Order: sequence, then C-alpha cells, then structure tokens
Amino acid sequence: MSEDPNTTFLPEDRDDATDWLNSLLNKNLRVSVTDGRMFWGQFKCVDAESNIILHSAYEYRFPTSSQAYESATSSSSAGKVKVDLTSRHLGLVVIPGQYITKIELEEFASQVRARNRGFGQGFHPGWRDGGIS
Amino acid sequence: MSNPGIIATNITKKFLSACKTLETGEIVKDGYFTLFEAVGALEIGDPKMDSGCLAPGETLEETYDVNRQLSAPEVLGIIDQLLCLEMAWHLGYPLAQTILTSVYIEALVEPAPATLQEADFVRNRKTPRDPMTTVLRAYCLGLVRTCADVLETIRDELYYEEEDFVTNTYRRNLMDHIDRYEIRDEILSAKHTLHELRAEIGTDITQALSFRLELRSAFLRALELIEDRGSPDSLQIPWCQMHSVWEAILKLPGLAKEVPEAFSTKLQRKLASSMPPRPIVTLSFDEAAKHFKKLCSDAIDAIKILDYHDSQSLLNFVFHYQAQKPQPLVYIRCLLQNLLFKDMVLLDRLSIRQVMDDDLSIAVMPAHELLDPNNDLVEAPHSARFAIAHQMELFRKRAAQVYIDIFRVLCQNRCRVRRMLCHLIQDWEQVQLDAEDIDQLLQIQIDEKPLAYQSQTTLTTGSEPGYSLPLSSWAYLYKLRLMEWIVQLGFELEVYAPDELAGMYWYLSHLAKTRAQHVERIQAFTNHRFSELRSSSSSTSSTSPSPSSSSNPPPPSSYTKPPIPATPWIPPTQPYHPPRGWPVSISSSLSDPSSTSGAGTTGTTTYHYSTTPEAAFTRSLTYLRSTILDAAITWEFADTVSVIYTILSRLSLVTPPPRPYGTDEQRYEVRMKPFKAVSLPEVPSYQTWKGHALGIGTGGVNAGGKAGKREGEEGEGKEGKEGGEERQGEEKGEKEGEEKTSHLLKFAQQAVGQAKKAFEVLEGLGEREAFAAGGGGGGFSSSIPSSAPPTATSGSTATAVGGAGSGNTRQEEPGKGGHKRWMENVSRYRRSVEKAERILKEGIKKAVEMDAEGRTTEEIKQVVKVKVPRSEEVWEQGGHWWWIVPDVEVVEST
Repeated sequence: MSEDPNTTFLPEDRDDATDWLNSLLNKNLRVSVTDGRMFWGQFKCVDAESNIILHSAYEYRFPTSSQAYESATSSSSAGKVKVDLTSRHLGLVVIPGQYITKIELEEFASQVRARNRGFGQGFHPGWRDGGIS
Repeated sequence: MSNPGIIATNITKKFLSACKTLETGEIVKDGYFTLFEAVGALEIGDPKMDSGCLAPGETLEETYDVNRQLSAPEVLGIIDQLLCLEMAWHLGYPLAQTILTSVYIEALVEPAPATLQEADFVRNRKTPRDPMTTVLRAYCLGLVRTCADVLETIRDELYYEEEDFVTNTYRRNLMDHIDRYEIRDEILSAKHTLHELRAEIGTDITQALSFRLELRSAFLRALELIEDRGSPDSLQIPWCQMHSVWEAILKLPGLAKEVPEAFSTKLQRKLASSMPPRPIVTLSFDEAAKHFKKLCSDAIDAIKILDYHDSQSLLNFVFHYQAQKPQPLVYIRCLLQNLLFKDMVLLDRLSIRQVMDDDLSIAVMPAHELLDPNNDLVEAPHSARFAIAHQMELFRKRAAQVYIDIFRVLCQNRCRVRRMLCHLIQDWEQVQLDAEDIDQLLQIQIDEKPLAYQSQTTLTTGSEPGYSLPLSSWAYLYKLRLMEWIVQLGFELEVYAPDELAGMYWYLSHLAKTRAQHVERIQAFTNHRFSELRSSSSSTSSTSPSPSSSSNPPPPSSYTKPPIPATPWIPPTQPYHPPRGWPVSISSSLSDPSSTSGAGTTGTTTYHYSTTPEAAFTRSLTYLRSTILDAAITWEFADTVSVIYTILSRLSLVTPPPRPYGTDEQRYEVRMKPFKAVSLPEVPSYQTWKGHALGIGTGGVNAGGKAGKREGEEGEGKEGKEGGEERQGEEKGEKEGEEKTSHLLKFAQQAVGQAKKAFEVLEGLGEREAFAAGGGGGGFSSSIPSSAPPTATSGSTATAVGGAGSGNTRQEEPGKGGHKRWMENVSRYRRSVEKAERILKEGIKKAVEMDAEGRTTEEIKQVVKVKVPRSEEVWEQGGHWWWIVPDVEVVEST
C-alpha cells in the first residue's frame, strides 16, 4: 500500500486533523528519515512541527553496500527486504519533523478491511497493547 | 515486518498536513504518556545522542578488511590492545567502549557463529587461513569466551551495575555455547602453527605471541576450574601460571606494532544500545599489565578462602581482603562471593548452620547443650531437647540471612559496604529482639540459673542477677561491631568534615566501650559455665574462676594480667582443624539430614569443631579476650584522636568552614541517622556528644583516670555545669581554659600510651589467636583468638608476645597466606598510633604550651603547622585510614 488513500488536511479542518492524529496514537508507525534509516515504534506524541515520539522504537537500516536494495525499497514497500534489514532496539525516540521523509501506518488487514467497508473507525484497538482504550 | 496480516499505509502527506493545522505549542499525545518521559527520549539526528546518525558522506560500514595479511608485530599489537581493552572492561567500562570496538571481535561474534568452525573473521572462507590470522583468531576466541565466563560469575552475584561493572553485552553472543576445551584446542594448535613459523618471524616475537596465547589458555582453565570446583589447590594453579606468564610478557617489550585502524567506535552503532558513540577507553599496556597481575594475585588470595578454619577467621578473611587498597576488582569480589556462597553451600562444603553454630560456639556458647546436634535426633515431643532443637532451628532460620549478609555486604565496593551496613544493623536489631524471646524460652528448657556478675572495668559496677541470653547477646555483639564499622568506614570514605572528627571519634570510642562491656558480660557467663564444667568433671583445676574474677583489663596494667583465671591449657591432642580434604566433622555425629535441613543447611554431617568441651571453652575465651583487647585499643585510640582534634579546635588550629545553611545539631542528626533505628545502644543526645567533642567531659576528669572517664551517665549530668564553667573560664581569661587544655593533652597522652600497650599484646597474637587462620589475614578490628595457646594467661606482656608465636604450631605454616594481611593491617595501625604519640609529644604539646604562654592563634600557626590529611594520604603515609591522625609539624621559625 504505497498510495496515500486520504487527502490532505487544510487549516480549516483543524478538528478533523486533531481527531485523526488522535486516532493514530499507540499505533505502530514506520517513520523514514533523511539518512535512509527507518524507525518503527508506537506513536505517542506529535507537535506542530511534526516532531514525532515513538515508544519501543527499533531502528532499521538498509544495507548501504548494495544499492540494488535501495532502489528496490524506494519503489515498493519496505517489508519485502525485511531479511536484509539490520535492526536495533532503541526505546523511546524523538524524530524531528525536519528529517522525516516518509510515514507509514501499520494496521491489521482486518482493520483496513473494516474501515474500507464501514466508515470512520472512531476508535482504535491498538493491536500491540490491548490495554490502552 | 512484512506479515500478510499487517498492512502498511503511506500516510506521509496526510500526517504532515495534519500536523501543520496544529498551533505552535499544541500537541497531540497519548493520555498515558507524560512529557516528563519524553525528556528521556533519544533525539534522532542529533549526533550527540543518536548513535546511528551518520555525518554527511559517512558510511556505516567499516572499511577495514579483516582478511588482510597481518605481520607478526601487527598481530602482537592487536592482541596487546585487546588486553588493554579487556582490562578496561574489568575496571568498569562497557564492552561497547572496549573489546567490542575491535573489528576482529565484531567479525567473529556477529552474526553469532553456531559452531567453532564457523567462528572466523571471514565466514565460509574459500582459501585457508594464513598462520597469523589463525593465531589472532585463536586468541580472540579465547578472549570472547573468558569474557562470557567472567560476565556470568559477576551476574550471579551481588554487584552494582554502572557503579561497579557494566554487564551489557549489547545482544552480542559471547560464545558461551562453545566448549572451552575446543577453544583451548584451537589455542594449542595456533601455538603449533606459530612455532613452525619461528624461523621466519624471529624467536622473540614467537615467544611474545606464544605467551599471550598461553595467558588466554590459562585464563580459560582458571574459569573452568572455578565452575567445576576442583580442589582449592588446583584452583590456584592457572592463576599462578597467568601471573608468571605476565612476568615473561613484560620481559619482551617493544615488539608490537600498533594497528589503530583495527578498532573503531563506529561499531557501536551496530550494537543494541541507545548510547551515542563514545570514545574507546585507552589504557596503557603497562597499566593494564599491572591491573592484570593484581587480578591474578587477588584471585590466588581469594581462593585461599576455601581453607576454612573457623567462622571468625572466615569473617576476618573477608573483611581484610576487601579492605585492601585498591580494592580488588569487581570480578574478584564476585568470585569471592561465588566461592563463599555458591548454591548456599559455604566454601563448597559447609552448611550455613555449620558456620553459624561454629560462630555461636566461639562467641557465646562454647560446648553448649543448645548447640548439641544430637538434639535434632530426639523425637519425643515432650523432651526438652526436642523443644531446644525446635527453637534453635527457628532462631537459625531467623538469623541465617542477616549473618550471611555480613559476608555479602563486605564484598561490595566500599561506599556500598557502608550504606548496606546501615541497613543491616536494623535487621540485626530485629534479630536481636526475636532472639531475646527465644532465649527466654530456651532458658526455661535448660533450667538456667540467673547469675550476678561483677564488672571491674566499666560503667556497670555490678549487676542484678541475670540470664545469659546467649542468642541475643550474639546478635548484639554483631550489631555493635557493624556499628563500629559504619563509623570507621565514615572516616575511610571521608564522610565527616575535619571539625566533626572529634565528635565522631568520641562516638566510636563510646561504641567500642559498649562492645567491651558487652563482651565482659558474655565472658562472665562463659567463665561461670567453664568453672562449673571443671568442678563437675575433675577437681584438678588450679583455680576456679568465680564470676567476679572474670577480670577484664582495660586499665593499662591489667592488659598483662591474665584475663582468664589460669585456665589450664589443654594441648590439642587432636588436630584442631582437620587437614584439608578431610571431612569437616571431627567428632561428628551423623545426623538426620532432614533435621538439619532448615535454615538453608545442606550438610549431611554436623560437627563439633571443638574436640573437647575444654577446647571449645578455651577457644571461646581466647576469642572474648581478644575482642576485648580489640575494643580496648579502639576506644583508647579513638579517645586519643578525638582529644587531639578537640585540642586543635580549641586552639583554632582546625576551624570549621562557614556553614550558613545548617547547624551542628542538624548535622549531628544526619550523622546519627543510621543508628537512630537501633534501640540499643542508644544514640547519645546532641548535648552529650557536643560536650565530649568540646572536651568538656573529658577534660574535667582527672587526666588518665579511667574510672572517671567512663562514666557516661555521670558525664551527662555534669555537662551543663561544666559547660557553664567553660564559658566562665573563657570570660575569666586564658588561664583557666589553658589548664583544661593541658589536662586534655595529658589525657590524650595517657590514652595513646594505653592504646600502645594493648597494641603490643595484639601484635603478639598468632594467627589462631588473631582468628586470622587459614587463607589470609585476620585483622585488627576483630582480632579474635581461637583455640590458641593461652597467650596472656599469665606473666608479662613480653612473654605473651614471645610465647604466642612459638606456642602456635600452625602459625608459621607456609602457603597459607598466613596472617600476613592481618599483620600488615596491624603495622599500619601501629604507625597511626605512633604518629599520634609523636604529634602529642611534639606539635600539639608545643601548641598547647604556646597557648598557655598567651600567644595568639596566629602566632601558634606560625610555629605549628596543622593539616588534616585525606584518607588516601593517610594510606600513602603507611597509616591506617580509619584513623585520620592530623599532620602536626613544628616549624622552628622564631
């Protein structure tokens, strides 16, 4: 799913935007940054400059030696090259908005289907931690 | 990450635009997430925090080729660098800054090799390894494996992360799954390879490399033996080998060629850590060698702990071993714990019960029916012995932990020791209270008669008949000792400011006196039981000790008096201690294992250390005597030092720094906080303490008058009055105050003289009497004799000193470590005493005289230079750093 299915928010959609961001809380995000790394973790906090805080984050680094992989990852989803990613547990991280190149939301296929079928999942059953809500 | 059930959606645009709608300062966050937590978050892209952040153009990959051809000097250089890094790790730096910065180690352990064959710098090698790489690989394998073992030992014991050691391996596998034998085989074959090259690379360098391989192999062997628990003697062998290999290595210097590019901080970015890159810890080779050699010799000494003689020698061993400066490295301290407690079996062969019973027998109840292992065999529930066994078991269960904790605590770093002792005394307090209940139940069972005893020395001038209360007495004795240690460690760790020393040394003296009194009480009961025993068994005993004759000799002259009424010395017809390797039990009776299984006991045999009741009594009385001796020295010398500081502060030669934010009283509260939780001995009131610190109570007393000086209660009463006098004195003029100061001086001189006299007796103690038998030193602060010959039973001090050595058959036995450490401690102590004596004769006397002549402080300062040394300086001067004796020099100028 490389396409962004939703449109952008305009400043006047402020409440919608905030609601939407709130709905993302505690979900798993993949955030790529300018130096090519990708961070995966639970979304905890964001501010106006898109500084994102991820909890229990892992760092994924694409093998720099093989350019082939890089081209492969830039075109399609990162998931396909999983075996070659080197990961490191980092814990709580702040990713400054200025470095962010890509943000991806991870969801269960079932959730996506449910949303596509029905409308606006108002609530988010965080899949990693059944405890939030 | 790619899981068919999970779908990733690109939400970049939407997300960023949604954020833009937020106002500055507004945030969206999870309700359970606090911004406080966010402070701890790692900022990505910040080179100071983000270890994964790369500078523009920088690559993550290390450019160093691990497959390159290495020359022999280069291999030597890498190995030496690894040795330095390994030592830095032992000293407390993380692996990330030490050996994991090596490109070779990284290549070896990552990805984790499944087999030894796989473990190589280059995986799936097509061409054979060249010989030099083979050598380096074998060395690295050994290194990694030893690190794994060291780590395991440390993790199993009590230590403090960060404070002592960093155990983090950053998810690197240190090959703990690979057999040590296989690695040692690799090392061996690498040595063969090396020797085939001898002609090519030169003899010296072959030797140098070979020694390093040898070192690694011995280290592996050492760790293996500790795990497998060979015999104590064999445990030492590889450590001795390592030590001598180091000597050999140091004889071949200057052959190595450094390869700095084989180490890189970049490797830290691959480690599982949020730590930003930190520099490689550099330790010089000489320094590393020094630490390594100390590691080996400390290990050799530590293993000697397995040579158990008696519980007090064991305690002394641990105490003095850990008091070394510098303290042994954390690995060694954990090794000592491992040897002591592994699987709750003390020293590999004793149950906690055995050691505790031994200790009870030494301290409070030699040959006591309460300790009779046969009690456990009685099954009749109405029998007194059954009840005794039950109650004793309850007590052991209660006390075992705190008893063991003493040993454990002593194995920590010095600051921790003090801190943990402060907690431990509270536990002991509780044990003491519980023990009192048990004592009362037991005294009914054994139908004990109360006994009135007379103390000749201390505050109590006689007492109501009382019961012996052995168990709570034992607990109280330990508690007092721990309290003294806490104060002493305060001096060692420089907890107290110079102007507080007068008061704190006075408190130490107060504690030591309390201990002496308490031991006297124990001694009275023990003597009483001993005389009963002898009168019942035979009538040949020369003198029957009566309770009142349980003389205890703090007054100077009586140090030489026989503290125990002429106890006939019972020659050890049977070896007091079995030679190593013998079963522990001497007069052992096999006991039902189930009956001893409580309190963590695992032994299948119980034993009496003492072959005869007489020997047990003799041992116990020797212990009590030397404890009193020790306490007496402590109090006399503490008094001396306290008064020295009092004089100095009176003459304004030691002045407190300005302290606008606190009062002396508040500070006193803080100092006494650890002791507040203890009901007995009570913490003296601030007024009492202050009075003593100012020398009011002391000075008023006829100098040297022991009796006068010891009246704690009385002194308190006088305090107010004397305080008043003091003030008046100051008003009246110099004359009166000066007289008092000179009294103080006289008092201090006498106290130090007494300390010295007592000291001479102490110095004469053999290892058994000093309870420093076995592996290593015993020590001053608890010089406790055991079954040893009757040192001071009769005659003068001199004969006691001379006789002690010769009378003790095992004392000089070589290879035991002897009581060398104990002696060293004593000699340091002696130097401190002598220094105090000297300054009292010279500097302080001069100052007091000048004060008497009406000179001003400034004038005195011109002539007499006073400096309060740091505790390290005391150590460097050869003194004992529990005794901060000031430097007072007379500078003849005018």
